[in-house]
Amino acid sequence: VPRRRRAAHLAIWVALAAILPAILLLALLHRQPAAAPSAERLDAPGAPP
Amino acid sequence: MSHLYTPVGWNRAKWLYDAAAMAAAVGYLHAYTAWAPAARAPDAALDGQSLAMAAWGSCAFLLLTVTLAIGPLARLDRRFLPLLYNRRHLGVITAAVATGHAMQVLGWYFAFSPTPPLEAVLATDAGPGGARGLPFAPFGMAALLILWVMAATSHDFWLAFLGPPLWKTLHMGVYAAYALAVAHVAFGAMQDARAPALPLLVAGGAATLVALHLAAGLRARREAGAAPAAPEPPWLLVGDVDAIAEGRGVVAPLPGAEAAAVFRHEGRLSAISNVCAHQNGPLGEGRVIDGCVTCPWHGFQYRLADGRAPAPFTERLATYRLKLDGRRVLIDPRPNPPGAYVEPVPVPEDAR
Repeated sequence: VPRRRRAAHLAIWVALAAILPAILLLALLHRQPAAAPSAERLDAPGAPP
Repeated sequence: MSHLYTPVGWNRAKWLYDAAAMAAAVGYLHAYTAWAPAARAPDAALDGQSLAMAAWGSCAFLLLTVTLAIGPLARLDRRFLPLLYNRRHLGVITAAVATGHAMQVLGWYFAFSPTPPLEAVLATDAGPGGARGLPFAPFGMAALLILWVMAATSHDFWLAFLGPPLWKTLHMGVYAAYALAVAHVAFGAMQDARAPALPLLVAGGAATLVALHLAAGLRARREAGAAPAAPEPPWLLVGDVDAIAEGRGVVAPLPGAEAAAVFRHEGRLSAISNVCAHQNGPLGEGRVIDGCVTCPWHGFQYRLADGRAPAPFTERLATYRLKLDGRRVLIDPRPNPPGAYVEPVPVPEDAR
């Protein structure tokens, strides 16, 4: 592999090492927990008849 | 100027490679469809079409991750080299599976829409990510576009037509495709909090890929830095003097010319043509007998210092100048006239 292409590969993966965690972190921060079953549901225990 | 298109040169290894890759993809799709419903919570159950979308999408992402891991794995451990053999076909299979995922999405969400599907998918983010304001479909579309370009130019015709430097640069687009695919999954399927293992799987795969590529890249850089500097012209490197056994020789290929044979005998080095004057036997594979290089084919002999056959024979071979740079043996590739005397080079340790 020519030296320049080897250096380009390494530079790309150094950049990805920074970019990929940033994407995943942003996505996780944006993620919202699953909603708990609502008491409003008609089939929930204690729901109005 | 043009390049002739020739079909893929199939052989048994390529058939086996492709069959294994396709069997793995089909097996994954079946396994996902069979087992994923049982693994999901009852309130997170997927309909059949959504299940198929998830199966094809995750299969494409997994294939892309595996394809990207093959290069550094093969550089770090030669046992992975067979996987590199037909990697381009694996890339084409990845593009096909990703296309299958896209077809499932378009077929389900926009089949009956009056808006053209591509326009609709860009105007509407129909998944969980879109519902919270993070677009994710455009990332997947951009990744798929790159995979299509790469799959379409995977054939050797394009390698010859574009030339290796441009072709390799074009195909480095796969790294951008991977980053886009990670964004597509992260802002799309990963937003579904009812799939707790997905962030771990995506992050684990990305971390593994980054670690493999950085390890392989840093190792190659280290090795390049440790490689000995090329000798000054016209000298060429033959090898380490300690690699030449007493009474034996090594063949030194010379650019654009016949090879030379470098011999070590009684603590001194000499070089003559590798080609025997009799029937062009490989003298470098012979040994020194009675102070003469002896051809392994028919026993013709030549003196080390001047390449002349001992009397009464009259054959003469070209000789070469040698010198030592530390323990490195260097050769001047310009041949001396046949029979010209060259002072043998003493090997320091042997001379003591």
